[in-house]
Amino acid sequence: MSHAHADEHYLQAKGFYNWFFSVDHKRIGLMYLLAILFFFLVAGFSAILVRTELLFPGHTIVDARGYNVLFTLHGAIMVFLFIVPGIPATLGNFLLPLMIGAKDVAFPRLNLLSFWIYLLGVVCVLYALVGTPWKDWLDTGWTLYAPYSVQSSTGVIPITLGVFILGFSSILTGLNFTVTIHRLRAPGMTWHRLPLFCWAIYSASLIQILATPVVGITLLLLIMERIFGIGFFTPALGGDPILFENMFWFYSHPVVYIMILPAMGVVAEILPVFSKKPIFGYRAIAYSSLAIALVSFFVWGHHLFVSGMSYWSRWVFSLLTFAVAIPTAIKVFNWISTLYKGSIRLDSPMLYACAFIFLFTIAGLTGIPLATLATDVHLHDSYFVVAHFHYTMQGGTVIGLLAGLHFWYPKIFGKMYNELASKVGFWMLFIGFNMTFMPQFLLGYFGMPRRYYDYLQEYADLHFMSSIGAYLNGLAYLFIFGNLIYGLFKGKAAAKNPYESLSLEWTVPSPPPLTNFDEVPTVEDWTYGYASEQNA
Amino acid sequence: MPIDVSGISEIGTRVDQVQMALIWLMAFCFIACNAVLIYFMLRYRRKSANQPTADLRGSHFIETVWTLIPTIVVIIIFFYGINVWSDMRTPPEDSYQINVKARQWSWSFEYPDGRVEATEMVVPVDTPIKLNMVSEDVLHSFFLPHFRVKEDVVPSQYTYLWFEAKKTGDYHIFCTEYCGKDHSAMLGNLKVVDEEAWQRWLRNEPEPGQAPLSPEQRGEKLWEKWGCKGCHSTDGSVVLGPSFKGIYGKEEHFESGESLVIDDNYIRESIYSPQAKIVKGFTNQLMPSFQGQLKEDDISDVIAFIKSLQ
Amino acid sequence: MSAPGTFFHAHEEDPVEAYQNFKFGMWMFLATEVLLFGGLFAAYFIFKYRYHELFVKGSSHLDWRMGSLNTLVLLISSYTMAMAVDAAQRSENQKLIRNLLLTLLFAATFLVVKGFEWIPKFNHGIYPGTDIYFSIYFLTTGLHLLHVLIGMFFIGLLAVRANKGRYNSENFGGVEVGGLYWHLVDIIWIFLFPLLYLVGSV
Ligand code: HEA
Ligand code: HEA
Ligand code: HEC
Ligand code: CUA
Ligand SMILES: [Cu+2]
Repeated sequence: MSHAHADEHYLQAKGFYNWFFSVDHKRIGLMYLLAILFFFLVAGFSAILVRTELLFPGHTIVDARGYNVLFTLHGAIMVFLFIVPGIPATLGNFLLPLMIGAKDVAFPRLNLLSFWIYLLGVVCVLYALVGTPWKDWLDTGWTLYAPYSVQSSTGVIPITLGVFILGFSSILTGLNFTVTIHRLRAPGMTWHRLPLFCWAIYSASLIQILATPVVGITLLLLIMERIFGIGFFTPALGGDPILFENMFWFYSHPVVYIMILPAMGVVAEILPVFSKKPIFGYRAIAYSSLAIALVSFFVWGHHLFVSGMSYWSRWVFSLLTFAVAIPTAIKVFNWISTLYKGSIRLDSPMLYACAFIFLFTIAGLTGIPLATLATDVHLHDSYFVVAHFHYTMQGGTVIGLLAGLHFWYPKIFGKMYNELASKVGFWMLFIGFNMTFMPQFLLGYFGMPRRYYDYLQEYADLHFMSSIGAYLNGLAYLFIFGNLIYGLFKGKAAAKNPYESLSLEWTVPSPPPLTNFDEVPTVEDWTYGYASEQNA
Repeated sequence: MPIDVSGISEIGTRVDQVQMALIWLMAFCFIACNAVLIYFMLRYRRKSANQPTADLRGSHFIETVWTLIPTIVVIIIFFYGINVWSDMRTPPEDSYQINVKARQWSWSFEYPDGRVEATEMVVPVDTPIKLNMVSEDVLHSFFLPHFRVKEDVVPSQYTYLWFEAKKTGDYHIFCTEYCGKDHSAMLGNLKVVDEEAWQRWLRNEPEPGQAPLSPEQRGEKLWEKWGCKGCHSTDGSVVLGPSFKGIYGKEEHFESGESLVIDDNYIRESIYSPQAKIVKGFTNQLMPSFQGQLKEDDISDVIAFIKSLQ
Repeated sequence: MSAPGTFFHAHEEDPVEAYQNFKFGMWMFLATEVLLFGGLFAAYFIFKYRYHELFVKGSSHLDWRMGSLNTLVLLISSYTMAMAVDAAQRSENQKLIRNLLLTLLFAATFLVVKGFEWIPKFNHGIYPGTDIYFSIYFLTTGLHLLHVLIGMFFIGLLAVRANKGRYNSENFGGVEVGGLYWHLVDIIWIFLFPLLYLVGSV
């Protein structure tokens, strides 16, 4: 091992080998970032095709099967290839060791292995989605419900295998982060000084470790079902399709908190920096992440409120679902209070963070009628649900990812993007996004079912509006990413700590050197001592 | 578009009350949070580099308050919702029962007197109706948006749903569980009729002032209703199965190499056991059997219809 | 020629640190394994509840003697594995190698016995998919078998490394962590055995 290049920053390494075999958490994070953003664009593009088909009732650009393939492609890529690795694998990988004052994650080689496994999973998933002749492209929806997925002649086996492999990658990443946070914190970095982003990643990692194996076994069973006809999910063989739903959601509900917790962590980092104030209710925010992770394991049944589950199971699952709202509410209130009497600069990271709060309250609050039995019966599998989860996943996670990308961009790349352009992009996105999905709440309330290729004339106006919004939304992304890419080449060099943040990642040069810290830092105070007056 | 459903059914009206209450609550929470957020964003906007900021790190009191309030609110919502839902799940003892069968991609309804209908379900007004539902293939979901009720239809497992219409009229039936290619075409119609029309319908009489349908017309109706239309055209084009145009009396060749002149018996066999003789070029065995769904009377109507398509 | 920070040029943790991390990571991994099998166990109980008769009938087709033999074999292998860890901690390399090889031998015995159970079933036309009971039987034992194979691979690796004198009282993390994994494989079998073989008698 050589220390000769100690002051060399991590981006200077060139060539395939130095990246693809790199065990440096920063490079791995960056490779993940590239991969997931690529898939975001692919899946986003298929969403544009979905919305184009829905511009008018009846046949617009594809036939019924084509439509089913498109929304499956969109949902499956968005969920499995983009948002589940999402923030943890990208910003988490890059920042976690820096934030806790470590040289790397606990198992650097395992980290690289996770990335390779991710790529392997990608290959399988893509093969199922688009790798076969057109008539075999997957059309089951991302939920892969049996018995349709058992009968369907499309690529169910490769996608299941792919998601199984991706699950492995996700488990290993979660495991790596958990051990890292437990064991590699710099001296003085106690649990109660840990940045909230790390708390969020920690909670999300726990879910990854504990929920993913269950979907793994479920998918394995589905594969066996197709190969051997083991009959677990096929009614004709004595099996139970509802069992599949239960096992699927046992993972796929907690997974939504894998998506949102890290985004919440990003927001909790940005708010204090840009208001120059300590975060309000640090411990409440930290522990509510854990609480959300815990409760998330007991609410999966809310996806099965009309599936024929027993009376009392529905009753209990409804009650438990409400329990998640409480720790989330605590977070929201604490974030807002952080701004009180602050000194707020509304740069683009802060705009995104505030937009996150704005959109996520809509997202979370619309979860309430879904959790309420009387109303979910009507709203289930309607566009109301579609709107709900786009507000959470796009209004929440994607906006959170963008907030983080803009915030840490100078640290990651050592360059600055154009601030004015990024604000323009922000407003395009904000308007386009609301215009796409606000009408969908109405559509759903008015009875429009989801996964419908064709619809009745009476829904036409709202669908049309939603599609127009989607185009604006799509252009906004092109604009935003265009600006970020332009900054890479033409941007001004960034200062070491342009936003005067106090956390450890800003104490190293931008971009960070390969070995992060010359010597292990010692932490003396918590991360959020921003206030200029001592009056607490 | 089922926007205002008050008066259509009692449960639907009550669901909407819950929904309205929730919308107001959501609006309140949303506005309260975001008004404060935006106010802070503007009020404490940085005006000078050394603008003082307070060292507020939290407060146990506030923290407790804003944990307790949402807790109480959600518990209230929960019981409010359960109350309505519980009635929605409890059909009255004396409900009129109809068996619903779902298959890709059509609905059929079996009445207590053994009569089977497809696509359109006729029910009397002011009578609680209980549907006992089962699927023949994959998952489906029976959804009456105007009544605010739905329930999944599962293979080899019976699920139920009940509703009571207070107003006559036509209402949508949607399938809301993804069930493959024509999921979005799996629509139906719920026709709520008054007592008089109901009795007439039970006796199979035409509407007053309307001439009884001829066998060909009845056959055509059946062709639409049972989804034959989805696979068999009347204009000679091949959709999924052979077109009906001009097939009667024609010589048909089969995969097995045999051939036969199409007559009544062959058509009957094709409908009841479609796999018995597979038409040359159609190896996919797509057509389901309609045994137990189309009655012998219906078959002769279909034959009449096919005959008329020369 | 490759820059630092790549696969073969990773910076190495202090060995004690690395060992602690490794052990912690393995515990987490074992948790995921438990949940992986947990999903199968859940399916087992649901179907057993629903098709009790079928389970009783199916389990009467299994030979509880073979099952017991395998339980015994695995228990002993767990013991030899524990001995191996102990030997590593005391720097007794010969004993370490001997115990690792013994463990490997018992694992192989387990495989042979499993073969004697499975192959006649295949000959009688009993496969996964024959009925729900046998589907569960083959899936759980099959997945467990896979774990035995993976375990054997790593124990073999440990033996090779031990032969090169890699382990001693300073550096025995690999053996200990391998041991953890092997005990889990054993414990899962301890749960599988009564559930699959003995339901007929209860
Ligand atoms: C990031 C992803 C994410 C997140 C964070 C959430 C968060 C929540 N979700 Fe959502 N959900 C999805 C992603 C997500 N969901 C997806 C993908 C689906 C559909 C999948 C599919 O079928 O394809 C879905 C579907 C779904 C359903 C099933 C609907 C159906 O199919 O019938 C339900 C039902 O209960 C539900 C409820 C909730 C609740 C209660 C929360 C809570 O966590 C929200 C808590 C937040 C708040 C409540 C707001 C903040 C609080 C305040 C402002 C304080 C005041 C509040 C009160 C007093 C109540 N969700
Ligand atoms: C991370 C999660 C995520 C994200 C970010 C999105 C983003 C979007 N989604 Fe997604 N969606 C899902 C996850 C997500 N979705 C899931 C899980 C489902 C359920 C699938 C199922 O039922 O199985 C779903 C279903 C779904 C439906 C319902 C389909 C149906 O039920 O019939 C619709 C319909 O409007 C839709 C639309 C959109 C749109 C317009 C965007 C936009 O925000 C996308 C914007 C991004 C881009 C447009 C990319 C950038 C631009 C380009 C590449 C250039 C081309 C653009 C132009 C020419 C304008 N989505
Ligand atoms: C899902 C598609 C599908 C549906 C629905 C369907 N059919 Fe068919 N049908 C086929 C196919 C494919 C064939 C040709 C293969 C065969 O003979 O089985 C066929 C063949 C036939 C034939 C023989 C035609 C010939 O040229 O020899 C008759 C008659 C027929 N169908 C009647 C009906 C009637 C009546 C209905 C509705 C009550 C119906 N089908 C519904 C797919 C369908
Ligand atoms: Cu039937 Cu969807
Ligand atoms: Cu959920």
